[in-house]
Amino acid sequence: MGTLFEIWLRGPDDEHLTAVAEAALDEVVRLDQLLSRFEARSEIARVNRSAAIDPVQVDVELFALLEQCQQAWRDSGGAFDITAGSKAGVTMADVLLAPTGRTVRFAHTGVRLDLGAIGKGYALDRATEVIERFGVTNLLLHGGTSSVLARGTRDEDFPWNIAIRWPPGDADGSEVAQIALTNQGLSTSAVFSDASQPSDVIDPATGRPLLSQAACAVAAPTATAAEIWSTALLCMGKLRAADYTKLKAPTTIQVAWIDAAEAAAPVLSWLTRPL
Amino acid sequence: MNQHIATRRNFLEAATGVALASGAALLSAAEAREPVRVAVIGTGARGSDLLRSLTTIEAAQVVGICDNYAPHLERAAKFAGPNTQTFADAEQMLDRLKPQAVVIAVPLAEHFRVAGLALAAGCDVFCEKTMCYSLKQASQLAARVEELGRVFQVGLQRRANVIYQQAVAMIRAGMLGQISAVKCQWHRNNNWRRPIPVPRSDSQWSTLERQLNWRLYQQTSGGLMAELGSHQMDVVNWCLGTTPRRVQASGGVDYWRDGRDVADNIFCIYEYELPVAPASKDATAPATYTVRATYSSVCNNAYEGASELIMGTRGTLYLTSSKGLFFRERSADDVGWAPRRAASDTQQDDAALITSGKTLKLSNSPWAHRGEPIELDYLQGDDTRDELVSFLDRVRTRNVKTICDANEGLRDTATVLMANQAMELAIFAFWPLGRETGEESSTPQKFRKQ
Repeated sequence: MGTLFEIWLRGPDDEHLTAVAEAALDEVVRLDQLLSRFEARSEIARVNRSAAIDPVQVDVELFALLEQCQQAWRDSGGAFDITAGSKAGVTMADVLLAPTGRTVRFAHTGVRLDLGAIGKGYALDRATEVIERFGVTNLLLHGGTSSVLARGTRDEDFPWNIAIRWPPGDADGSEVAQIALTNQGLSTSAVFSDASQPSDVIDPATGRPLLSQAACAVAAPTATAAEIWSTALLCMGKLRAADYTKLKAPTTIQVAWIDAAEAAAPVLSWLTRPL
Repeated sequence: MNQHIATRRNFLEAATGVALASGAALLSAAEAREPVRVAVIGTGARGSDLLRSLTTIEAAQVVGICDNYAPHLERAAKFAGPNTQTFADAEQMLDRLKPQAVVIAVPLAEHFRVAGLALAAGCDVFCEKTMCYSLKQASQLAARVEELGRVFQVGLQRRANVIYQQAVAMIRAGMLGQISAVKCQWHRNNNWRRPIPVPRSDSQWSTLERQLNWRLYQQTSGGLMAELGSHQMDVVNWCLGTTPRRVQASGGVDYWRDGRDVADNIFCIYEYELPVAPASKDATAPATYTVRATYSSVCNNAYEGASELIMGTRGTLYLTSSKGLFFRERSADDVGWAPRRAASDTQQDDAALITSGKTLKLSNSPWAHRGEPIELDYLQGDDTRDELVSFLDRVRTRNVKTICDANEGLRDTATVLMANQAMELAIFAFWPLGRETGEESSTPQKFRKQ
């Protein structure tokens, strides 16, 4: 994935926590090797190579994840689509999943799956399962700082506090908001471009690339759900995302939108009840 | 385009020794369609990986899984899916389900007993490396497999890896010239521990520590040699086409001092006897020469990673599971002015060359002498899946010649155990088996002081 994953665990036994953290990171590595489209030996690479020729039989875990991606594509009205990046005109409708036999088939060549929009969140959820299986209840993990998951508290007095920063990934950026994350996943998807290169996200209202810099932060019960929705809502653009959040999105998610016009300071507004 | 891709896939399958096309011709159409009924015994980390891989192979139907540790069995049940039955007892599963084949990934000290149960139940067997905990067990198991005529494969997955297959072919074709030496290692930086689900203060802690961290205790583990070295020393045996004559080794617990008694760093020098190329005119010259293969494994530095370096007079192979590199050695032919020198040996010509101003460009890079390598890639699969596909093919075609059979597993076990012995006793440990049959030699050669 080319992403930095970090884990914080709280507990009485250092040696035990080290072993648990190693086991959790092993799980992240395991998933990266299976799901990364850059890894020639991965299951996704195997599917991408062969699914247009013959149905490809995949394992229980991957099939369930692909079904989840298909459902998210439907729920988001097509905004969340793991075939993004395939040749023009391809959508998730071109990916055919058959539960008997657990097979994946592409309707034609030119279809490519890319789990980049869900992979980090999914890895965090699975890593958390490993950690919780060993009785550790206070934990914070993140993948590339854009996907975060917290359980329990930082210590007896303080929750896990997450700061959202703009510009994204800029260590000298300003803090836009601070969120106390309790037993939730948090994912931030951003559109960030400069004068030389317009955004690759199209504003459906105007049919043109988004001009204003923006980010969408979503908190959800799982890191997977948080990542699905931050991606989908960002793609929709603010107006459509606001409507969608009120009418169709799951009630378990909390959504913040960050507007950052060039000269002004970034502004965070909640599209749902705030965290 | 479909035609082209199908052809390429068949080439790769043939290269990995799967030979599915030729296998299918021997079966009736109905038989060829039926998946092999497989059961997995031992569903810890490795067992779950094997299980997950099996669920992606049409030729396999996982009918049952078994583990005596409930949390591992529960986790594995999710990988297996709802149509697979779960058991805590292997004998019970074998009796109830009567699978055709069994995949065994129980802790090392249990390999012999569980493989025995599977053979007794009439199954073909895939057994994880190292084949057995002791040489006696490995000898007995190999003999039993041969007696019963079963399909048996040891999980040394590099045997299914096209990079290693190509490397062996290159060595046999003479691209490396005469083998000079071998250097391999597997260096990592972690404590190798699995976490225990209860705190140290809990009464169950000790039992669980011994059960889950079996790799750390000599009573149940062959240490780094058996867990890691077995893969790579099998590669060396395969590349050199023989087994070692003797080994010296040193190891200790020098960093992870947490109660374990297996070494956390080991260093070995194996000696192999190889035939000298018959070009020598001297009839009294020795017929063999020694190739030394060094092996090391450490647990507190990961810089070198896992790789094998096969060095020869004409070239060098650098091998890993995902990438192979072949470096040609520089020869006189590479230097532009050498051919002219060969053509005429007069002093006048030499003088002319020296004053001609031709120079060899020296680079600042310390690696410049290596030149550009030929790259070998493993682009279309993973060796765990490929070794399982190969095993299933052998089961279906009733072909006992697996890519790593019980005799190869026995030789690998001996190679690994002699290093542990050398380490323990600070001696040269000699090859313990008879050269031809693989049986334990009648004269005990194990303890010979240098």
